[in-house]
Amino acid sequence: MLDFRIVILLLITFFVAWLAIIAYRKSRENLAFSLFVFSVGVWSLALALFYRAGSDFGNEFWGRMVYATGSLIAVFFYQFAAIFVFKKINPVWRIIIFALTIFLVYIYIFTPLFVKNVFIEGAVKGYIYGDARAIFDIYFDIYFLAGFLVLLRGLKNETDLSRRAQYFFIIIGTLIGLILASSTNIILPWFGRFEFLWAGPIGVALWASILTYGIVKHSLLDVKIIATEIFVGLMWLVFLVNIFVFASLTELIFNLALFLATLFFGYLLMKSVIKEVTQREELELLTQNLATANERLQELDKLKSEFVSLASHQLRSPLTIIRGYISMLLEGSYGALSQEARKPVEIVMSSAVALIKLINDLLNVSRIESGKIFYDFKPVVFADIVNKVLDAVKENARQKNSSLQFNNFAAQKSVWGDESKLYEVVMNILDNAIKYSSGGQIDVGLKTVKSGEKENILMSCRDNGIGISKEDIPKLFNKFTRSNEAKTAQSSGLGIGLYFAKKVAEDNGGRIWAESPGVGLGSTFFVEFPVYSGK
Amino acid sequence: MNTKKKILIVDDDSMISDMYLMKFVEDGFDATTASDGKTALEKIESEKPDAVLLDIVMPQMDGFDVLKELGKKGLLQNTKIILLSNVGQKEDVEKGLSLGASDYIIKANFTPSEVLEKVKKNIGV
Repeated sequence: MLDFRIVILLLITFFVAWLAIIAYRKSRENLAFSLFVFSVGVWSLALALFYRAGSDFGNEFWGRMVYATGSLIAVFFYQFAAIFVFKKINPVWRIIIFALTIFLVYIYIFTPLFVKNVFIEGAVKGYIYGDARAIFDIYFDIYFLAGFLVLLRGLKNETDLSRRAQYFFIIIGTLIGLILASSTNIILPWFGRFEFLWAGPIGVALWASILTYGIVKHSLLDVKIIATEIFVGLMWLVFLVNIFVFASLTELIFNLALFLATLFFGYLLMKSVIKEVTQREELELLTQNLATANERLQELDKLKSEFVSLASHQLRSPLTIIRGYISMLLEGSYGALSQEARKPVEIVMSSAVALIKLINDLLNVSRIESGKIFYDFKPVVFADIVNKVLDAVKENARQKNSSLQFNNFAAQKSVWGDESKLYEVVMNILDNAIKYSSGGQIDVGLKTVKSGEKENILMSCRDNGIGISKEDIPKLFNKFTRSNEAKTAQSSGLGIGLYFAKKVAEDNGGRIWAESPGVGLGSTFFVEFPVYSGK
Repeated sequence: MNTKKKILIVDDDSMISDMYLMKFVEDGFDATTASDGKTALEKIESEKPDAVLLDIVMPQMDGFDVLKELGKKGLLQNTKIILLSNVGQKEDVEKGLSLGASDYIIKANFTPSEVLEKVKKNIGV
């Protein structure tokens, strides 16, 4: 038949040990805390064994152990307070405290300076104290006081709100625990009353619980985690008690092994639940950050497009003026120009036109990127487009001594596309052909080719100009890339004309590519679109 | 028989309107300018030009607003409005044409001579 005091003490020991386990993290602070809480458990166990003791030796020994383990609580509490506030303890201090503690424990256990005797009066077990009792009591209290002062100072200097909350929990929990425990285990004994010695751990366990609540970070108070911890705790309790229910040695060993197994796996379970919950919370945070970052990016993208658009339009105005007046100068509106004067003026003109084209390209690129290209698809006779382009570039070709030749073998076949955009694609190709060759023949051919069941219209444009090197061919249609030969022939140019042409060609269901035997050997550009047969 | 065609050039940038003015006068047009929407409306109402070159981006009243007013007042029958702007996305072109303009030219892409040809084509000269 078990003494109820022992049962309570054992339960408290178990509970406090459970607290120590769930509070355990690999940080110094949590380690110090776990040690503190664990020391409470050890003290509680010592008390239980004290009450359980039947022999004189047992009573003496465990009686003294109660005080020895009790003093450790004070030391561990101070250590925890110091680490919580200062993050670490000066190693010299550590050694001093350690030495003093060993000294104290020795005094408690082996000398009559503090505890002279243990006495038993009926159900009550108590102490007869030695002469140095007051000294050691004070010494004991100093640790608590020091810990308290350290905490108060830490609270004063702490600005982080969640840490301040933790401080409050620790300080108030400590006050409650101290008041309760000291009344039964320190104050009453002063008056020779030992009836409630066993109740001390209750107050201290309460203290430890409040501190655990404060220490364990708020977010880990997820219902899932607490439920798991409680469940595992109960499971441990059951298997722990089960150890003592055995009929044979094998059963005892088996129960022990079972308990150890549940200890191990229960711990793993708690760890994994905590990990899962923290990961989930981190994921939520990350997703939110990603969403915000994405929004910001889209905003920036929009701003960029708007800026490019605005800048381009603004740039067009002065260019209109330049182009306008230069053209009128050349046309003779301001009197005839001498032959010598014509040349530089024409050069200015073509520069202005090139600039305007550059801006058009820039605008187009910004429109592609912001997805604002708006296609008006309908059946378009491809040959008509080619003819329009040829008409528009013939003056330019004449000036560069290029002769244009168009061979149309596709008659009036049409494609399904946006007329103005297709015009721009063809214009791009032809314009390049003229720009990058110094005169000579430019052959434009249009024919139909069969691709399986389908019929395609294929346009080719061959020039005898600067050609394209093998390395440059794959990069030709990239954004902002120009071959070295192109840069030499014409220094200005963004390198987006072909990029744009490719995008548009593909959006209209076709493809564009280039071939060249090599540098200086001319190039041929091809565009291919599916023939529209009226369906 | 008065064969001189009347044209009104509307643009808030006087350098541009003067440039076109020069060209049209040279070609024999009776040409005048206006630098904002309100003046443009008044001049169109009073002088009834054969054609109007209308810029879009102008402070207070833009080209589209002018077009809408003209439409409301029924002045679009005898006057051909040609939108002349450096803003030229497809949506703008369609908006302009649907409001009653007969053509849409992007200034930077054409010389004054080419603009002249387009105007003449629009008014049937």
